[in-house]
Amino acid sequence: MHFKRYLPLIITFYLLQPLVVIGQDEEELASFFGDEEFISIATGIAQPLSKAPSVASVITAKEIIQIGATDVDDILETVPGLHVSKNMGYTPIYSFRGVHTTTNPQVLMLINGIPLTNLFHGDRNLAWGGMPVEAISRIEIIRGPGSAIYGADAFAGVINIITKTPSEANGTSTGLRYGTANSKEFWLQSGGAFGELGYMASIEGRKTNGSNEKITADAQTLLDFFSDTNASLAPDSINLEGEAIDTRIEISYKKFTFHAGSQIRNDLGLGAGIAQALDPNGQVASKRYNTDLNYNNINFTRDIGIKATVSYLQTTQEVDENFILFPPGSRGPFFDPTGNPLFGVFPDGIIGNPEVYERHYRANLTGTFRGIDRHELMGGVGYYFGEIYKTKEEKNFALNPATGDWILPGNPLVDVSDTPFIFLNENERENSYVFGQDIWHLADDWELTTGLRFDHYSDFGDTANPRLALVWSARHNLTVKALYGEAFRAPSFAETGEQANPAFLGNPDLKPETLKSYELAFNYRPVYDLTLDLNLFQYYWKDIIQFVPDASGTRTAQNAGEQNGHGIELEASWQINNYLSILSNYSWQKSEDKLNNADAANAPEQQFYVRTNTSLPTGWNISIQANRVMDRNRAFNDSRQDIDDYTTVDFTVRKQFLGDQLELSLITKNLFNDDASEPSPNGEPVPAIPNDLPLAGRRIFGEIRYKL
Amino acid sequence: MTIFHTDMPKIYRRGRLLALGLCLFTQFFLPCNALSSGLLIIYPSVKAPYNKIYQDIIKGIESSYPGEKQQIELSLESDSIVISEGIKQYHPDVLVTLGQHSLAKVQELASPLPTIAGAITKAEKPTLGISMTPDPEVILERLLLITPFIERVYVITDAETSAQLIPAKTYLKKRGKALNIEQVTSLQQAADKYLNILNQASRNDAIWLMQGAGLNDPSILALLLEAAWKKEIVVFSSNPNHVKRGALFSVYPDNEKMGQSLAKMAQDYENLKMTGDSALLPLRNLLLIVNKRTSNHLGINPNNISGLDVHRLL
Repeated sequence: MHFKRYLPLIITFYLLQPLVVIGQDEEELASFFGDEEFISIATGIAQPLSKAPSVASVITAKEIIQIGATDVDDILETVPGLHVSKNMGYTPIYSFRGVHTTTNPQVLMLINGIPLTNLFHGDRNLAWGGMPVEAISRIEIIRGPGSAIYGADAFAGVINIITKTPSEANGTSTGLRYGTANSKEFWLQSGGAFGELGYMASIEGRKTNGSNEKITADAQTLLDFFSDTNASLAPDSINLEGEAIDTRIEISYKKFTFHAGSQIRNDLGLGAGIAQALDPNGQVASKRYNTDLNYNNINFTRDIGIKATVSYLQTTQEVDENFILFPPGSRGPFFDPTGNPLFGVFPDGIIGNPEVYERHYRANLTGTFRGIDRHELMGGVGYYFGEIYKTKEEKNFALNPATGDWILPGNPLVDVSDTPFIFLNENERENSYVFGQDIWHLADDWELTTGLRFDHYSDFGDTANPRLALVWSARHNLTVKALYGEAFRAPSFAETGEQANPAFLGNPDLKPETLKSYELAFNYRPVYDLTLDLNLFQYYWKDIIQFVPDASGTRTAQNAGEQNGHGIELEASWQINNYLSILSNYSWQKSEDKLNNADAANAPEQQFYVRTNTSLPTGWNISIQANRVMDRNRAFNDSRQDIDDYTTVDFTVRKQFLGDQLELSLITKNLFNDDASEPSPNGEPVPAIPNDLPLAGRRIFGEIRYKL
Repeated sequence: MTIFHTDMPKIYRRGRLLALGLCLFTQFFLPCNALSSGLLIIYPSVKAPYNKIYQDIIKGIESSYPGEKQQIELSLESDSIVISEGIKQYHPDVLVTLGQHSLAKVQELASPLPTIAGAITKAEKPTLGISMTPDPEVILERLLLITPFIERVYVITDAETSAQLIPAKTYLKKRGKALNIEQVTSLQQAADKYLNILNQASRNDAIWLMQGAGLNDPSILALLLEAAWKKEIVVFSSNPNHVKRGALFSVYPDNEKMGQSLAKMAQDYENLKMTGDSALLPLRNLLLIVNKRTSNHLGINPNNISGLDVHRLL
């Protein structure tokens, strides 16, 4: 018994001697390469952050493990000026600096530089199901616009997820995680090289029962009141069950890199329901496949570098189990002009099953030129073709295309695909573009970057987006950047082409949304291991696409909205000693809905984040982080009280054994079980879900990692 | 004790020529490869990303050593028996050790096989091999390419390192430049010296931060780099970490090329049956890292430094 208790101690003591000796080797290597971060860069494991002047954050695989992140959203929430909110389907809303919409097409998410954007809603689609983190090398997040480089949708922010290279995966490793809500995750990855040929392959799987957080009333609760029914399932829990399998492959040979990946989602619960009415049975699925091939030669000639990329992305949004928009027993949201329900009770509920299938092809050629004294030039051309090549829909309400009559309660599902009664027609879009950038060393300590990108779209025409950045090395430890940028957001196909819906109609004459942004950024290193950042920003967001109601109550997409905002972000990163580091940030923003002369809704006006990490040479790593989300306003016509602030505290402890071969961890999220929620949308006459969208309470996970 | 044998590279180069001649001559009678029959690489198991350094060195060795190559990765629990069993199994002609731990384990064996050590900084006993310590001549060569206007270089060191800098002094002297070596025994003395140097330094002076003297305390460095920035004095370093903090440039090992040098050394040894002087050579296979912000401040455009392979810009 005693022996068992002291066994770990005995093993530790036994291992201590060789550990120290081999540790000396590591220390010695570190002294010739600087720190671990530099070793990764020097040995080609990691690429340094692109030097394009912008307000950017980078989160590395090491930090991802330290903070116990189990999904990209856990990581993104730690970034100043960015809050990860949820819509009613519980897909993430990456809310940057006050730019917050339900479908969130104002953010460009990339994997290895290739957009994940869908044509349907301009987002990452309804069947998102999260994204696991084990294959991620680092995430680069740019706040503010980036259309001069990235083109469409690099609007409020850009999130670039970079996957591990062969040398980074290095050998074979595996892991398991189990925790709250019967959440099971596994991963297996392997990387290495045969001569010049490098390979990395990774598979990650997860299955969860989701969250058991409850909502008290939903859209059907309201309908029950008006149509004298008792169909609502509320109060009951939201549905976030699901299965996910992600695979990533990288093959590199000399100057060529090939990536392939898949994100398969099955049996995903619909959160609070498609129509904000609880649906315990409806499940969505998705298949995403992507490949890209890159040729990168920075020394094509002495002065010229070349990078060429071709890529393909295929995404689907499919129905696994019928989407029950309103539950069995509902008479639906169908009323005559006097306010009486049009139909009797739908015994199976009101069902609508839309499916969308997309393909995206991209080609890009970028060249750099270093032949002119004091200038670094970059230019490129590119082409994009995207299509929604198939849409499908079955439903048990509205008009039957075969008969021209109403589909009545009790009738079976009717397939309206390939008829004018489908929600969206198949459609395609082409985009060709050209861009250029010059970094000019004006004088010692001064650098001016100017860039311009011109885009031509087959559906809505042309747009040109400039950017300017002046960087001044004011002191040895102070850098000041002044930035100006413009951006555009291409209208989604739902916004231009939604049809056969009495409530929402698309508009083919939409223009892109535009954003202009001014930023002033200070980077200050008062002492050796302390970095302070201060960013000030102001933005003007115009032609915001909104569904505007007409006299009949039908809402049609219009370039109607306008929003301005400004704010501050403060960041501090302090490596106190070899073992202890502290990172903290505070963000404040004030945005105004100019159309309604009101505070902009839903995005937090203040956020505070702090993290300490203790990494001991004995193999222990302890990380504690706290995140406070504050001051989220309601929409101008929403009479509810402002949503409550919340604070989550996460605690992660890890211990390595056998060098770093085996690692055991305990991860706790929302340790103090704070009552956290995200705003539910406003509605008429009242919000469908009045008490907001609850976030998960305390969650505990155990994790084991092993390197073969 | 660290042994620097500065004349060694020339002898070594001559040796290589001789080896090539011998090889050409003897290939009439037997295949050249037959001269290199076996090499056993012994390296420690270290965690990522350190392991990539050893992997790259091994890649370099394997790419340029023509004979049989075998590897033993020393894990935490393995002792020198693993190595002796490896020797029995593979019958190598030469052992190549990477890191201090592997060298110590091989030396415990007292094997008669010749051993070439790599990726270490110092050896207790006379050892043939290549140190991780950058060759001061290479660093100064880079300095004179990047900033040809420098006339005088200041370096503050302890007694041990000071002795190793004599060849560097000669190197600069030959080019009409001066190396002022200031020897100190404490941090306080180092701080005072840096202050003195900065007070009298001009644009033609440079300050060299040496590796490992234990005198580059973060607080001294911060003050030094601030004052140097204000007076536009060139500060360069043997530690790449200092470049991130504002030093103009540094160097770091080119692991693959270092591996190739180790392989060539092993071949030379086999071909000539080199014995006698065992020396740890300073590392000449180096990559350059430049701080772009500092170089811009000093009015130096690293893009225009002809013939220089700037590997990284920070």
